[in-house]
Amino acid sequence: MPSRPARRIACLLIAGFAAAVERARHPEIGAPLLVHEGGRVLGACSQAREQGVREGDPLQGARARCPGALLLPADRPAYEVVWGKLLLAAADHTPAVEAVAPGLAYLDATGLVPLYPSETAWGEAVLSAVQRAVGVSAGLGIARTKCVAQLAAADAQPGQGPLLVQGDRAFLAPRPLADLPLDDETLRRCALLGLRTVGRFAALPRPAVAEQFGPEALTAHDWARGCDPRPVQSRLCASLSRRHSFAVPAQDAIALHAILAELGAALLQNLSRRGLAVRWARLRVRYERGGSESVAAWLGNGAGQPKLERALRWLVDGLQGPAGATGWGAGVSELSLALTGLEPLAGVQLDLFAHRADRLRLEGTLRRLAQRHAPATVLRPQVAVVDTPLLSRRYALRALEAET
Amino acid sequence: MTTALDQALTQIRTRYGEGAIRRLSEPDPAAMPTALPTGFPALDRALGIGGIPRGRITELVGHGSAGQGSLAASLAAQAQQRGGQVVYVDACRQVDLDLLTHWGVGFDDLRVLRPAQPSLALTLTRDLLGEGGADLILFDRYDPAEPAYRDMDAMLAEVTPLLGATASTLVFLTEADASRYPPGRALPYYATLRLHCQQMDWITEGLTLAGLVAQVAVIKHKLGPPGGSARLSLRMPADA
Repeated sequence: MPSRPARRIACLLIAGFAAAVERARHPEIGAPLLVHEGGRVLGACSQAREQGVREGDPLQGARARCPGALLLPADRPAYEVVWGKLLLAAADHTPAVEAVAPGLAYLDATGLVPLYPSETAWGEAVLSAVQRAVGVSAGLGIARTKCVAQLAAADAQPGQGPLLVQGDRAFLAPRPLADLPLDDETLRRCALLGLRTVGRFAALPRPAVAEQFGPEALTAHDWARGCDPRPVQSRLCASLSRRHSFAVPAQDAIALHAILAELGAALLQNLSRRGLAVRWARLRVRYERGGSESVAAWLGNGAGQPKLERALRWLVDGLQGPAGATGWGAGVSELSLALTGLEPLAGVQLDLFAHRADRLRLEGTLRRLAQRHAPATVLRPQVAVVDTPLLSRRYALRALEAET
Repeated sequence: MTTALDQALTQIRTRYGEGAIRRLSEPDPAAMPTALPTGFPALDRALGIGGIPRGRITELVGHGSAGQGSLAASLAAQAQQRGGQVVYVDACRQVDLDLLTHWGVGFDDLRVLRPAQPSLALTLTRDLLGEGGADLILFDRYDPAEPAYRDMDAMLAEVTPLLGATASTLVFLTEADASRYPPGRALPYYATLRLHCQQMDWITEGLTLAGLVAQVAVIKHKLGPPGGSARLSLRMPADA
């Protein structure tokens, strides 16, 4: 039986994301950059960070620390577009991307080595895909746990390739204790006890940590010992979208159907390549006269081309048009199609036989309950009609047969 | 070198069992049950043990649209992601399957118990636990003011040891305000963890209602620090 590949997690980190995006948009600016919003720093470039400016600092204080900095107002929609593109670029190389916040994402790097010459080659492929897609250099750390991967990503120099960590605990041992998620009071008490490195903290017995610093310090203690079981969860990056602008506004449904079929096919191809299933299709149209409309259809699991096309036809036929106009008024100027609720087509296999045994045991228990109480007491939910927008018809509860 | 204390400890363990006595510096597996993550890292951090305790009773207290249903659905999804089976005790006969699927709950590992009367929901839950239980049992919904639940005290006294034996986690969704909870009810006593959910704001996208912001406060915690809280952004299923 082939052995299970060791867990590997990559962290993609762009410090001062907003400033990095602005730098890529305006390469001619040589001065330090500060992107601000609501009187606070949203993003600081590396030069400004070297002078002590941090994200979230009041703008006035940041200007005092970095007097030569150029101030730019934040353009959040633009940053979100760049972040979305970046995640899509990274997703071409991994089955799971977890977007934590703009500038920080985790990628599942487990078992990818057979597809690439080495882990370094995989990391370089991710970094170059990101650079090509959005023109921003990122740091990439690869380790067994999220905690170490993030610290490695912070150590990695943007543009210098990925930083690989093989022994998580050894990597953490000499680092300062402030690298762990400990509050200021705990750090102060650790310093009083002479605990200044992660390795010293990790050497403490677990019960002693709980008693001395409270149970909330146990997470940091586990991480210090290289135990960070948090998996990469790709739910936050669960949509794919495409947009089309009409040079001449579309007046009839046939044109929309044709374009949507094309967009849908491209998106489905993307899905199958990543082994994902889709649950919703959302269509948004912008009318030439102004205003927009958004409609969505439930697709269920495993939507193929014919099913998606049927749903899209249904959506187009259901468009109401701009307010105060008959039909679509002056026509549709732009449409975008998004597939949302993406999940892995095949779930994670945890433990085949244990899971099956548990399920069978519970099924037997529930059948006995149905026999003892009433057959209609124990119900099995199922999807009844996938395409209907009416919730009452979409699902059904079927009685579990009593044990004979 | 073996001291007199070591010898005494060994004798007590031999006579009364392995967990009868221990040094405080030794880990106590029974005191720290494993936790089921809620799906919200901020809440898991506030709970101190990384989630809700397995094999115990957790109560989610709140009124109306306070996010209990979404939190329960997220718990169910987390249990299933770890290979667990979920049983939904639908005492109020209003299970929202769309909400459950929205949070990633799969139907293969979900069964719904729907009693003819709310009072039978407690009996069904006890019978289920007596037969081995399930990884997560969601009891939706307990109303402390409802006369149908007057036998709650006796039922919880029976259920609590069964939970420990079967490693099942029982979560009650309670329709009440934590500050105006009727006195003398058994559930707050038997619950290891009590979370108060309160709606703080709606999330809108244009004119569309997209979800709500809920404040979840830890009002009782036998295994960790009480008083923590987390603010959660809970998205509703998009309408079709």
